[in-house]
Formats: sequence, structure tokens, C-alpha cells
Amino acid sequence: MLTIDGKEVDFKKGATVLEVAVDNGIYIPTLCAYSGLLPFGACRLCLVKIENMRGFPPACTTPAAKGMKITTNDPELNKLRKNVLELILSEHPHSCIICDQKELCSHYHICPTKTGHVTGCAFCPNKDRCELKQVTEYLGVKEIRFPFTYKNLPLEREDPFFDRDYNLCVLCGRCVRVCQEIRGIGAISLTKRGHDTKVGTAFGKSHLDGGCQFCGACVDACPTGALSARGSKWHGVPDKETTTTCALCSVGCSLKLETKWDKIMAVRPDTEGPANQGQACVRGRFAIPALVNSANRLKYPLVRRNGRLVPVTWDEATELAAVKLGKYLPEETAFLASPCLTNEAAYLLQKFARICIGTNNIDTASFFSGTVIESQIKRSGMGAGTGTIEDIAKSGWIIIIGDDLLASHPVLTVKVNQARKQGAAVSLIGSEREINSRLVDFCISVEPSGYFPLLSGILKIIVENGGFDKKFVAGQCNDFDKLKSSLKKIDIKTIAGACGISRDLIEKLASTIISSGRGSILYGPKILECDDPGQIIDLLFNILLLSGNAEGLIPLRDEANSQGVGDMGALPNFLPGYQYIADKDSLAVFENSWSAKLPGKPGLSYPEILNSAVKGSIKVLYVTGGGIPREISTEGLDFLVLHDIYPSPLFETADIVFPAAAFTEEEGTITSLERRVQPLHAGVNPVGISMPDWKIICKIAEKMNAKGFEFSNASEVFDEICRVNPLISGHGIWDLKLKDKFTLTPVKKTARSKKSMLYEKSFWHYRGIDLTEKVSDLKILHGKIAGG
Amino acid sequence: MKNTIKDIIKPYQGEKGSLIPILQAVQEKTGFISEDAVSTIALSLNMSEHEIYGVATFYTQFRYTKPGDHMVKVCLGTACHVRGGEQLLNRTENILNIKPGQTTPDSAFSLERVACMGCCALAPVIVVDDKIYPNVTSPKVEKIISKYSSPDEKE
Repeated sequence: MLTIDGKEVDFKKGATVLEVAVDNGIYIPTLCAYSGLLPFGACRLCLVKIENMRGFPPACTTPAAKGMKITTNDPELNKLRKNVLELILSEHPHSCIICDQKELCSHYHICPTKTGHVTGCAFCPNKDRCELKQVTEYLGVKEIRFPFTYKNLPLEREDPFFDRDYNLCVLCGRCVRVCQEIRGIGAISLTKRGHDTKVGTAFGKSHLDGGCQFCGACVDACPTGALSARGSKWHGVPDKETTTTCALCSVGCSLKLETKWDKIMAVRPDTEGPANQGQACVRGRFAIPALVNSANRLKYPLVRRNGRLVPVTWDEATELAAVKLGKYLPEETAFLASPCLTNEAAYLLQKFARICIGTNNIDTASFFSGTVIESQIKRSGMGAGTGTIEDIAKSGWIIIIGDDLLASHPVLTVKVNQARKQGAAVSLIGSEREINSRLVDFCISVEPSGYFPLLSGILKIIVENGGFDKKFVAGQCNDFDKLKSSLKKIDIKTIAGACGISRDLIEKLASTIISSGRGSILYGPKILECDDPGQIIDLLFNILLLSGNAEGLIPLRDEANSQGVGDMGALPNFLPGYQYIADKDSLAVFENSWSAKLPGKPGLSYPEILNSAVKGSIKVLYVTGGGIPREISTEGLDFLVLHDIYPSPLFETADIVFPAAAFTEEEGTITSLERRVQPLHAGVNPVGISMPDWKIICKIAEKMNAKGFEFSNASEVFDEICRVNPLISGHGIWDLKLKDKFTLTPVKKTARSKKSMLYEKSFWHYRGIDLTEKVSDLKILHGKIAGG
Repeated sequence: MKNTIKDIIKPYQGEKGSLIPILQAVQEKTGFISEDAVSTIALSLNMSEHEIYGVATFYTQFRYTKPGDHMVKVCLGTACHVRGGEQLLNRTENILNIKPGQTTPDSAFSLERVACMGCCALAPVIVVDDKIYPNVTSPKVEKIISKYSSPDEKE
């Protein structure tokens, strides 16, 4: 209990005076306090009076205590704050802030020029959301008694994505702290001191050379126009803001699309996003406008006539597709569901394949999904990982294996960083980038072929030292003895030699796992380069179980909706909700709810479909965006249907191309790697006459006179999904319903499995499009990351 | 170079708050804080090089360029300032053709401005290496500098 402005209020232990004030709806002006960051006390605007305390303590750094009597606003405080603000403004161009004519500004809005330096009133890129202006208005500062000093620093524009004009910087340190404390990168810092203080890099290096990941967190934190996103700095206030989910990777960040004139002009992370909490990465923050606004987007349905693709109407194109698809036998037709489809589109695609064509030849177009889903079903009964993103932050230990997390899922590193701050030991198995070594405790550089020996070595030490969670293993795990005996033959010394690391390191790793309680394991697509990827997942799950916990296994899927497309049953052997097709009962349930006859024989998997397409046993291929490996020839096909948002390599052979809407233009849902079903909301209309994927499928089904595709909007489709799919009941994380008993899988030597096709490294893709080809600045950054 | 720095860091390994002693030791051994040194320290302390640079530049004691053979310090403490230290500094800058904190291209001299050498009775003073020159006047600056110039340069 304390008193603030005469009001008696309760407070949480550890809260600062500023936090107590904010919680109780009291505004205290501040520039340097920022949610999620530690108190800093740089701007001195939040000075308050506290009875029996000397002077004027800053609210942001003073911990609230019992019985405090706080005054946040009186003439004396305001006078002090005004003086402080005047000093800040004496070094910040302020003609736009202190101007008695500023109310008239919008009437005489002049066209802002794109000159670099901000000196006059109309030239600040941040003039519409300036925090300095808000504070000035609150304090009522009308003139500044001190002479104005322009710092005259050069404008920094040589790095991709954002510009820096430190003449506008007020040295609140928010950018530096957000980079250091939240992102864990520390690509900038406050250099020098006194008048010469400036946010900068070591020896004035460029951000690109200094390890910046261009996540844009600093731009979002900046209260002034010092940092501004280059693509959108002159666009001003958006017409509309739409909260949607990012579909450029599988983390499921919530983003705000800012639109003007029906174009996406900027994207900012949503502070309420359950997965990202106000954070984003370079793709979500900067790449989306260039990706979806390009003039090369497909706008009209195209049909091949006399060897050339020509634009036609929807009626014509769908009619042709319906006729052609109806001509072939079910077993000659196959569907590839892009892992970027919405749940609605994936659901309808598999329904279409099963009802209208009568085939189960449908699979998610990703090698990673196939292998992962199989092993996951073996482990947990469902094709999903067992962990959530929140689990990562709470972990006592974390293993990241087979992915460069910082490049592939940057927002997850925020959670890893959070866990690490609370004492979690983080091990990275795989990548050699120097910057990674700062983000983790153990950086173990091992090729994928070394994953198996390394993990079995860790397992052996855990089992033999006996430090594992015996209660959990005895109560909830089967086959411990089998596992133990299978580990007997393993020799740590040979293993250390095989992976080229020291025995000490393996032992250290094992002992941190044993001693740090609950953990998380994040595994990425590089495990596909191992001899037996399934067994790697088995080993990882064993390690997790021995630490006394089944939750926490997280697949780092590459594409946005790999999870959802599988959940929706776009798989050759599963109906929606991972119900076996071979199981007569579940087939009957779906036949009943769809009132149609369904094929009972499992279909071909993704690699099998591709192989059969080459051999000629598949004659019709229906591809919904997403590339297929370059070495696969589609020339043997009779008919190729394509959904795409850009012209792609498959254009040379496609017979019909349907223009699809990008994720920023459609309604629907996608499911992230933590099984969280999240909504997509359209920020703008689809370009040209393109349509969301689910609508295209409905249109073709309509032409084929099929029943069960009469939907007028995406939420009707989602309602049907909730009805028929036992996993999905609405938005949010769907319940995995883990069993009470788990099986520890014994380790066995595996023969090298035959690989039909190599996993194609997908790094920054959307629907098979290489993002770096569409966003030139991204290419520069990619080159930097790939080149070391 | 890298190895010397590694040797310097060794005793401090894993100690929190050891950055400044390390920086001081590096400067003492190698004369300045190089880019290489910062990145080596960064790796071993698990910090970003920018953070280290930020800490180092806060203190005026660290230098980032290789110092010259002779260090010329011009005092601008209160007493020296009153007795014309500013003019001495200007004169020295003109003779050496460098600004404070810089080194001549031939690496012969580095120039620094300091605030009080603790011998205000002798103001204004110039200190070259460890020798203090008292009651310096503008014409004297040239003489003092020329004492340290190498013989072939004089001709």
C-alpha cells in the first residue's frame, strides 16, 4: 500500500514508482523508460516528489515501497521537468515541436522533400508519432531559452533497411538497450561521453559489418525520428492498421500492417502478439511491402494456348481445370499442398482431392514436414512438437540443433535470451557463425553426420551417471532397460573422436542437462542430412524424457503453416486431425460428415509424387505455390495446375496458373510451430483479380458440381474445420493430450538410408519464392550471413 | 598480436567486471586499443565489440591509434590555461600538423591535451614523454619539438 497523488493503491513487489503510476492510470512524462527494458534513468523527465526522500527521485528507477507518499504533478515538478525538456530540446531540431502555428500545419501541408537532413519543420520522418512532441505538449513548453545547437552529424544511410540521423537523437538509450537486453545482439552502443556521446558502433563500422540483424527493434524503440525505416519514412500516418499473423516463418509473430491507398506501406510488430510480444525480424519488419507490392505479382488467371500462357477470366480457367481434372483416373492425379497455405485452403484442398478426385495423393510440399510428422506421431500421437514458445523462456536448459536460429527464426532467440538471463544453459549444435557464440553458452560445431554419435554419447552419460529424473522415468517411461542396454556398446572416446570435440565438452553438456531441470530442445531441418533423421528425433525425445519432462520438443519448421497444413489432413495417410485413413472407423466418420465416399488407400508421399511425376505414372499435378526441387522435371506431366503469387520456374510447363492472394490480402488462420492457431486479416485487397487459395478451390469444385464447397467466406470454412477436426476448436494453442506413458527408444546403429532427393536449403522463402530476389536489401544481408 | 592479447586476458578469464583492467593491460602492452584487440576481448568475455568500444571510449585514457615514438602532452589545466596553454597547443598543432589524439604520419609524435600535471607553479607546461618543460612560450615549442625529431628529418 502506498499513496500516489492522494490515492491509496496496492503495488506488486519489485515495481518501480513509474510502473505503479502507469498501472493506476497516472501519466508521468518520460522518454527513456520502455516496456521490457530495465530502468535506466537517462532523461530525468519523470522526477517526482516522495515524502521523506531527499531531492526529486526519478520515478523510473525508484522502487516502490510500503507507505510512500508520492506526488507526481505539481507546479514545482513541472518547472523542473520543463527545464530538463528545454535542455533536451536545445540539441534537438524543434521547429516542428515549438511553433505557435503548428495547428495550421495540416491545412498548408507542403510536400516533404527527401533531403537528408532534418532541420525545418516538415522534414522529420517521425513528425506524426513523435514522443518528444507529446511530452512537450503535456508540459506546455512554449519557448526554449537556451541557444539551439545543431550537432551537424553526417546522415548514416549506407546500411540496408533503415536510415540513421543522430542529429535527432536525444540519447534515451532505448535502441541500445533493446538491442542488448531483449535481442541479445548488442550491435550498437553509446560511445564516447559528454557532448560527444553518440549511438554508434565499434570504430564506426557499418551495422552490416557490426553484426546487426536488422530486426528493426531499435527503430520501433526510437521516440524521435533518429531511426527510420527507409521504405516508409515519408508516408506519414497510415489510413488503416490491420493486425495479422506473419507468414514468412513458423514462429507466428503478430504484426500490424499499416496501409495507405490500399497498399502495405509499413509493418510493425504487435506488442500484444502472444509469440513475439512486440518483437519482429528483418523479414516481418522490413521485407513484406516489397514482397507483396511488386508489379510482377500475378493478377489474372492464365491458360496455356498454342504454347503460351494467356490471361483469361476466372470462369474460363476454372471450367478448363474442372474438365481436365475430371478426365484422369484418381491414381494419376496428385496434389502438393504448399506449407504456406492457410488452414482453410489446406483443408479444402485435401477435401477436394479426396471427394472430387477420389485420391489420397496429397502431401505437404516439404521434406522436413514428412519426416518430422512421422516421428512426431510415433512419439506423441500427433504430428506436432510437444513444446510451446513460452516453454523456451522458462527452460533451465536449451539445446538448439540443426538450424541457424538467428537467421531462420530470429524472434525465438529473444526467448532463448530471456531464458539465458535467468540462468539457462544454452547449447547450439551445428552452426559456426561467430555471433552465435555470444548468444549461447556451448557452441558445438558438428556436421549433421556427427549428431547421432554426439547425442547418443550425451544419452549414455546421462543414463550411466544416474543423475536423471528417476521418479519420472520409473513412473511414466517404458523400456528404460532396453535403452540402457542399447547404450552399453557406445564408447565416449570414439564418439568424441567421430565428432571432433572433446570428451569434456560432452560430459559438461550432459551434466548441465541433468542439473538444470526442465528443458527445451529446438531441432531444425539440418537433421535431414543425418543418416536417419527419425532416430535423431528419438534421441532428442529420450534426452527430454530423462530430464523428467515430455514437453519442450519444438520443431523449427521452415514454412509458416507446415503445422496447420498437416493438422488439416493434407497428408497422404491421414485425415484431418491425424486420423489414419487405414482406420475404417475414422474414415466412416469423415464420410458421414462430408456425405461423400472417400478413398481408403493411403496415397503417395511428397518424394513419391515427384518421382512418379518424372516416371509418368502421375499425369496431373496440382501445385499450390511453393517450389519443387529444381532437378525434378515436370515435362512428363499431361497437365499441371498452379496456384502462385509470382511467376515461378514451373511457369514453363504449367497449363493453368491461378493468381493467388498473398497472406496480407486474405482472411483465414495459420498454425505456428507451437500449435497456435492464429488469424490472418486482410490489410489490403488482392492484387488484380487474384483470389485467396481456398476460394479458387471452391470455384473449381463448383464447376465439377461437387457438394460441400459452398462457402462465402473463410470463417465459414474455419467453422467446418472446428466441427470435423477434433484438434481444432478455435484460435489459440490446440491441446496435444499427451499420453501418461512414454516409450524410451533404444539406440541402434543404422545403415545409411538411401536418400532419394536432397533437402533443398530453404532460407527466407515464401511460397517457394526466394525473398532475397524480391527485396534487394535482404540480399545484401543474406550475403553477409551466408558469407560469414 | 592476437596471442599477446590472449595472454593478457588469461588471468581475468570468466571474471565479471574485468573489462577495464583488461583494456588497461592491453594498452600498456601494445600502446593502444586496436580493432583486433577489441574483437578478441569481445569473444573471450562474451560481450559485443560495440559494448566494449562504448565502455572504452567513455574513458579518455584509452587510445585507438598506434602512438608515436614521442608523446607530447600540452597542459590545459586551470593554471596553464590562464597562462596561455591554449596558444601553446595551437602552436604545437601547427608544428606537428596534427590535432590532439592524433599521431604524425611518420609515427614520430603523438599529441595530447591534458588537464593538469600537478606542477601548476611551473605553468604553462609541456610534457614530452616523461620530461616536463616549465614556463614554455610559443617560440620555445619549436625548440622542444626539434630536440626529439630524428637527425635526418632536421636536414
